Amino acid sequence: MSDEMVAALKKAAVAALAAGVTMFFQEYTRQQERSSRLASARR
Amino acid sequence: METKTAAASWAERESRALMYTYRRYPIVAERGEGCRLWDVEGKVYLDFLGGLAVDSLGHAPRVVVEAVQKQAATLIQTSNLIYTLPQIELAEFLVERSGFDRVFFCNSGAEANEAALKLARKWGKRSRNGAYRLITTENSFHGRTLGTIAATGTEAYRRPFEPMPEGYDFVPFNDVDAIADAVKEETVGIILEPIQAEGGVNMPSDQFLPDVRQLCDERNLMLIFDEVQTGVGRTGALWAHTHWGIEPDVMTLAKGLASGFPIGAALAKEPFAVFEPGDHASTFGGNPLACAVGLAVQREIESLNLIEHVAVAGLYFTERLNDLASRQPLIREVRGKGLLIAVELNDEIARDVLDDVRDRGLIANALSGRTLRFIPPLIVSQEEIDEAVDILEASLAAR
Repeated sequence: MSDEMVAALKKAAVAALAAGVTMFFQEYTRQQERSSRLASARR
Repeated sequence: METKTAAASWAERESRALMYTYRRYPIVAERGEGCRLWDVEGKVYLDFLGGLAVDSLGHAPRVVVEAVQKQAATLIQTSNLIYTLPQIELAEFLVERSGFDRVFFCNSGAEANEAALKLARKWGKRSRNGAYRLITTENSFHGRTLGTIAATGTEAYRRPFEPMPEGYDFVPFNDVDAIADAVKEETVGIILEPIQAEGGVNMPSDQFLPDVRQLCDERNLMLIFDEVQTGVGRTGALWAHTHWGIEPDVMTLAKGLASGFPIGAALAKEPFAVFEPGDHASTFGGNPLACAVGLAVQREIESLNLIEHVAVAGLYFTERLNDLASRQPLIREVRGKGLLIAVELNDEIARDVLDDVRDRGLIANALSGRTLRFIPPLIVSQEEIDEAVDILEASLAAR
């Protein structure tokens, strides 16, 4: 495998990791906002 | 006339009222949210110290706020002479998700380790003909009580308080032959951290922990893992020891267990859970408030699949740091697991770098003159990791 191919694979792997972190955080933020809205409604 | 800043004024007041036990950063914290911390002067920091690997859900997480409010309005403390529901529920939760049978609750990591040391002594009396010595590793850290500093492999912590309680033999980390050579007739067990966190984020070799487990099985020794820092998801697994496919006989927990609310726990397999009434106790240990918060935090970690996130975020953070290391000769090595990460530098500049990144808005800590440690909340986002790496890169580039 050429150095370029290794670099491309590594870049893709890091992008996939970043996407995984982002997906989690978006869902986490959505849940926090929902929980906050529910708490406000209860009050 | 020079006007004192709000921070300087608070620091001066502290210097008159408190014992001088901490070399604090020049930050007077006022409030936090997620991975951000605000000081009394309104400056905002990205917090990659996370209360020393404690704030697993970040600052002011809703689930903790609600659990504190609800339980505080219900029942805070009864003493352990009375049964309380959250203590039983949290114990069941931990037992169901680990290979352990019984739990003892206390208030901190040092107390959890103190309980483990006492379990070893009691088990030795009962099952090993009075064996009492524990093998522990150099550069280990197990707490600041007299018992736990005796077990801690850092001489600087012990020397001012000598003579130490007797019965600890020190060997190098990652050297199972040294452990085998140190075993005597009076040796009751081994205490170690799966990853030496305070000692430098020192990683075990692939075979070290399985070899130690095998040695303990062959020589009838109690194996205690101090997972005060590595436990409860920090390394991208619920318990760090599962990365190596083995289980200790006793495990201690604290830091991230209740995401900032003080709590500690010692977990033991049935043959090693030898405490009887009168052997050990804690007035505040397992109080309803701490346990209700711990249970809420653990349920939240589970419902969010947070541990999978830690594994992915840890790999991403490590990759970004390794990429920086490939371009920045001041970085010698990046090591760690999950969101317990150290950056080893090529020179004794860690504390200067720490000061500089703090000025740039990033809080971390230095484990030595060469080693920076990053232990952010487990909910850290990609943008926050990118921001931290960018700050570190700018700081190192400016040197």
